[in-house]
This record gives sequence, structure tokens and C-alpha cells, in this order.
Amino acid sequence: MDESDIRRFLDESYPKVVGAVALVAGDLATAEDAVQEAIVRAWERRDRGDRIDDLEPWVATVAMNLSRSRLRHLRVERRARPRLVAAATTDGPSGDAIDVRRALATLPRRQREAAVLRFYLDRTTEEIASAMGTSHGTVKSQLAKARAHLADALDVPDGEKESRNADV
Amino acid sequence: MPTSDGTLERRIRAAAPRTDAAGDMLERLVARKHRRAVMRKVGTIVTVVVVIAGTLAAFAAVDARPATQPAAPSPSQSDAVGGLGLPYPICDISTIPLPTEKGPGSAAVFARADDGCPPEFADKTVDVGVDFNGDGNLDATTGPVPDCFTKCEAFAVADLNNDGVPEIAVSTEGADGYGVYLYAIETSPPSIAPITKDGDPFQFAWAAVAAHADAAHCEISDRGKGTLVLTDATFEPPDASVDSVSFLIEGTIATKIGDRHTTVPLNQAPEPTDQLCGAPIHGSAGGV
Repeated sequence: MDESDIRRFLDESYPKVVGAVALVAGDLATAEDAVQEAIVRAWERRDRGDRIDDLEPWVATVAMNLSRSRLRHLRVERRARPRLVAAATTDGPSGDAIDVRRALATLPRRQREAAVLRFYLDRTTEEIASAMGTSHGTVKSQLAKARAHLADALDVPDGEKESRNADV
Repeated sequence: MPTSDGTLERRIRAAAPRTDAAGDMLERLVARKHRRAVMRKVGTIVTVVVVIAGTLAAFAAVDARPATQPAAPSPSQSDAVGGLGLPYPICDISTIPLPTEKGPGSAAVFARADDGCPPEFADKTVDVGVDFNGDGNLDATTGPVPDCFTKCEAFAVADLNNDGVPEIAVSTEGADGYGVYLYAIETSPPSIAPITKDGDPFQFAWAAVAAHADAAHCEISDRGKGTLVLTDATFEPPDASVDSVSFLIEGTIATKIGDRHTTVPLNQAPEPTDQLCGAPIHGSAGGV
């Protein structure tokens, strides 16, 4: 990984990864800060001679972990609040986006991470298990619970439940 | 793939906040990398200073300690499923006393256990409730407490605005300290609701790590109004840079009423103590 890899990441992957972390962390400023921190850490690793094969999933995983930092969240929020409020007046989320973000926010953290990795970043359950440091079975269970909760909260027919009922 | 997945994918993708890497992002990342290198050096120096100061303070405390010390209040915590008069099973209950005119009540933080009690807090839905008359049943509940990463606990029952009615503080343990969420209560009719600022749950940090400390205290004006002052100290030996932000809490609304920046000697930097506005801090955060 060198500077051109970082430039490519900023051009191609940065908005998507920030969006994913923002959905998990609950706010954009924390996500931007966490993703930038993760990129710098990846860069430092390269300086130490470590190898990162695929920058996007590495940064996404590290940034999601960093966004759990309570102190980071609060400090960043304090600095960024005026800027975000100003931005919201011109580019506020739609009503449905607010509903979706609220529904995600009421999920337990790991269900939320699994849901965002699956439904937003389109990761397989194996990739999610690797990113979350857990088993394939646990991810399937987390996703099933998240799917049921989101389907209920967002008034989406739970296809998995319906297909089970149809089998009975 | 179940049909709902496609709908969820579409709606979640549309709901994600949008951002682009600014044109000078690479330069900002370079500057950030440099700052991290500097902070690592500062952190090493501060750690040495703190260890020496802590050792000296420990010797002084041993000399000054009274023969018997009052026992620090600690929350009762249980892994048992059930209780508090709720119509669903719960677990990981932490409670702290909440004396009211109705009796020796309590505030409780607990996890729902509809499908059993998950071993990790990151998998739990955590609520908070109050028992005003001490009959063991919660009279009002609200939730979920946002982002219980590692552990959520009852933190303190403290009258932050000096109006005679305490607020309930709940701690969420993070990787490098605690976040504290606040809840307003009313005894008649019984209610509990999150305190918010600008529509979002109001929270503050409670942490002391290598190069900075975040804490809170109360100040009372000449007219008897109480304000909550959040402090954010960054250690820059031999001084500390302190940002303070004051909030007025009225009902469920927190309003920022002022801020200031000061530089103080390192040993005068505000840090978390074992109290929040005169009320003892419970649970694992009490030892920050």
C-alpha cells in the first residue's frame, strides 16, 4: 500500500465506508473521524512493513471498532455539531431515511453492525463473521434478529418469516 | 434471498449519510499522522508524570486515611432473569437508591431477556426505569439506552439543576471511558424520559486517559439555578488546556448556555471523581 492506494481509496471507497460507519455509529462526524483514523493507522502499518491486502474491508472494520470509543464520539460530536447543524439545513435526510436510521439505532450494537455490513456493504456472512470476529452461525442469528426487527419497525414484510410460514 | 432483504438494502442504502473526501483530505491525513506521532511522545511523558504523582498521592492517602471508612455505595447487580414487576424477563439489573416523598425508591438499569440473556452487552437491549415507592416494581420505564457497548449501569441519582428533583444518570462503558446519558423523572404521574439536546439524547464523557480527562460538575448561580458544566481537559505539560461547556437542564431539555477555554497548571486540570454534583457514583465508573 502506498500513497496512490490511499488516493484511490479516498476517491472510490471513502464515501461508502463513511456511510456504513455512520449508520452504525449514529452520526456522520464520528464516522468521518473514525474512518480517517483507520486510514492513518493503515498507513502507519505500511510504514512498519505490515501488509494489508484489501484496504476497504480493513478500514471499515477498524473504523467501526474505533467508532465504539465513547470519548471519540463525544469529542468529535462537540467539535462538529455546529458544522453538522448547518449542513442539515441544506441537505437534511428524508423522512424515510430518518425512520431507517432510528430503526437501526434501536438495534443492539452487534446486530446493527451485522445489518449494515450485510445490507449496505453487501458482505457475505463469512466476511461479516471475519470482520466481527465471530462465527458464521452467530452472524446468521444476529442477521435474523436484525432483519425481523427492521422489518417490523419499517413495515417491511419479513420474507424469511413468510417463507417459513409457507413451509408449514 | 428473502424478498425483504432487497427492500431493506434499498432503504438502508438510501438512508446512509452522504459525504465525499475533501480535496485536501490527503494533506489532512498526513497532518493527522504527524499529530499521532507527537501525541504518542506526549502520552509517554504524561504517563511518567501521572505514575509518579499517583505514587506520591497513594503514600499520602495511606497516612491520612481514617481508621474506618464509610462503605462506598455500590449498585446491586444481578444476572438473574426476571423481576421489577415487568411483564417480560430481564437480566443484568443494576439499581441505585432513589429516595422520594413516596418512599425509599430506586432507579434500575436492566436488559431485556425475551430470548434469554445475551452474554455480551453489545447484543442486549437495555432500558432504564424507576420505582418511586420502594415496592420492588418499576413505575415507569424508557429505553433503549443508546449504544451499550461493554456495559450499561446505573451511574448516579443527582439533582443536576438544583430543582429538588433528581435526574437519573446511566453510564455506558466504552473502550476508553464512560459515556453518561441523563433521564428526567416525575413522580406524579410516574414518568421517566431521556434528556435531549437539539433532539438527540444528551450525553457527556467521564474518562481519564493518558493525555486528557473528561468530567462534569455542577455550579449553582446566585439565584439558585443549577448548571451542569462539562469539562474537557487536554494535557499539554506543564499545563492543561480546558474547554468547559455549561448546560441548563429544564425538564427533558438540556440547553447550552455558555462555554469558555482556559489554561491551568496540569495538577489543577478537572478530572473525574467519585461524585457527580455531590451524589456518589455507582458501578464500575466509580473507580475511574
